[in-house]
Amino acid sequence: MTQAESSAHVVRAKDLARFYGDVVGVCDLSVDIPRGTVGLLGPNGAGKSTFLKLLAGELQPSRGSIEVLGAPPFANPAVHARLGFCPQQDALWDDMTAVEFVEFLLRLSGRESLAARSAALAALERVQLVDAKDRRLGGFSKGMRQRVRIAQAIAHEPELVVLDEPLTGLDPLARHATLELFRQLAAEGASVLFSTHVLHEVEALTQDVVLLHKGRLLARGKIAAIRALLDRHPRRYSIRARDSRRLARELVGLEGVESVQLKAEGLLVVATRRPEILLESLPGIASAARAGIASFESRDEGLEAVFDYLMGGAP
Amino acid sequence: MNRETQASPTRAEMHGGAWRPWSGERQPARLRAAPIIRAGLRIALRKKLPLVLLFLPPVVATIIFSFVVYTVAALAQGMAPAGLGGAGGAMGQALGGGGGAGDFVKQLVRVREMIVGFHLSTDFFSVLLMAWFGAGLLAEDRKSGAHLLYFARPLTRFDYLLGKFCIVAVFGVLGSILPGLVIISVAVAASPDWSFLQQEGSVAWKTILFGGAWTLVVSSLVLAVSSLSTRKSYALAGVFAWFMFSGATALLLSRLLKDRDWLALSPVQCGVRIAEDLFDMRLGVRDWNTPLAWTAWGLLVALSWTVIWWRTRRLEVV
Repeated sequence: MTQAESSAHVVRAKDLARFYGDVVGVCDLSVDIPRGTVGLLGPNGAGKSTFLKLLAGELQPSRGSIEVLGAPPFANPAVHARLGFCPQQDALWDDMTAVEFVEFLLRLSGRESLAARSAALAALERVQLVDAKDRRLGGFSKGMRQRVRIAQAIAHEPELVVLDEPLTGLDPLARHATLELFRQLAAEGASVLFSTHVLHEVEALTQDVVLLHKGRLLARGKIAAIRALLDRHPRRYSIRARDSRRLARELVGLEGVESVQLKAEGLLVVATRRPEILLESLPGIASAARAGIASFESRDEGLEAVFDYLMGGAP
Repeated sequence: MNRETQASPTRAEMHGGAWRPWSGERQPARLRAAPIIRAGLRIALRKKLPLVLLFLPPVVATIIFSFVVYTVAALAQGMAPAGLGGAGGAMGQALGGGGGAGDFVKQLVRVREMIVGFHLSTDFFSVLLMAWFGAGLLAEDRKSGAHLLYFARPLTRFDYLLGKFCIVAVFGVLGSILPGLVIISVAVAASPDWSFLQQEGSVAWKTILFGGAWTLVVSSLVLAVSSLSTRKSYALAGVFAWFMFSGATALLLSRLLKDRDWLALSPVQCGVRIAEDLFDMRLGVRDWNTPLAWTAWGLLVALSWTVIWWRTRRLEVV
């Protein structure tokens, strides 16, 4: 095992920049992405696809450097052999059947004919398309085409699977199956890096995210850790209680509480800078006030809220 | 599958600290273009209607020319197929039969003329073939983003372009060289004691040379136009526009300026001149600079590949 292989990071970018003429793809991006499952997030134009293409070796950096699995990926067959890439673009040949398509790409990777055929079939089975293996891709639905793209990315059992918006076009069942597939890949030891706009699905899969905005790194790490850094935004909790007015009165004086809003149907929204005090005190306060708490939930612990906060604070 | 477990400083939720070092074996460098060629031809051969429509004219022309060549070769021996009414029949006379053994050499030369004539008359169809099957090769990849799949593999741009070129070239060979070789084979088989092969044997390699050069020129042009286009239809229109515009411009300038060297602007006119020179024939009054015709073809190929190389470098930006 080489030193690079034993490294905990599959991607290391340093001052990475890529420009399209005057348009900035990514700029001054320095980020280390660990092994495991990592979500790449950002709004349209954030530079997600550019970054994924850079690390898939499709683009050459305009400035800076990027290493994938310990080596620069651009025009590097050694990296490409260990990497599976699922682009966002349609990228399929309509006149090929599903199995021919995956087999063809495996042949390009250097697999022999028989090995390529069996690996193609295995990959199609993993994306639940083995029944449609002999159908032409031109007759496939959007979701099926997406699954074929995923199949070709995983067919050669790569060490790192890079997927650009892999959940786009999938129906709920297919989404569920695809997320399950990613879990399996991770459990088998592959690293999975995927971009998406569907934030709650990222949360379902991993807590490790990279957030990009306008081509720059906004944040990287665990969702909870990122959230904890956002001190200037108080934590907000929704509390539904039988006697919300009385509970609100009691909570206003609690240390760290900035505001308490009374909403309709017994709903309270409490904003606090000391969530630990609120969480510790709330049962006692509710009991003493006989408020009768029916539900309690965080309004901004999720990725959606973290993302909104970060976007709001982004330049 | 080899698995290895190690402590990870940033442990992802679903990952459990396991990771999978790549256990495969990288294949030694070899011709990665081969799968592209195979897949490209397989796809092309599935389009039955274009295949029939585009191959029918060259096939019919090959059959007719083969028959005529066979007849002329037979007449050179003082024989003629019974269907033509014998060497002295009307058709036999029209084809120059019945002249006796003294005309034998002339008849072989006529066979050569026919083969050259066949080349020039089927050039149009070979252009059709190469344009139809080649126009979408780069344009459609660009449109669909398929190059992202190609270049995420251990594939070089040279392999990619070689694969694409070979796909077009196969149709060039099928439409240009192969029919010529079939007719030559008929002539050889019909001539007594392999006399055609002995006397006009060079026609075979000249056919390969001319057909190969023509295929190179047209394939390169088709791929260059394809690389500049976003759709197959645009590329098709571009190829035909090039041939028509260059042909019209070449003729116009050569007549206006009374200088036949301007014909070098047209790849087709260059082809005629090169064929005349290569096969030692005079098909018309187009007696102009042969090296200039070769140079024009060479420049067109160089220009085409410069464009292709530049445009495929830009593929990455799509």
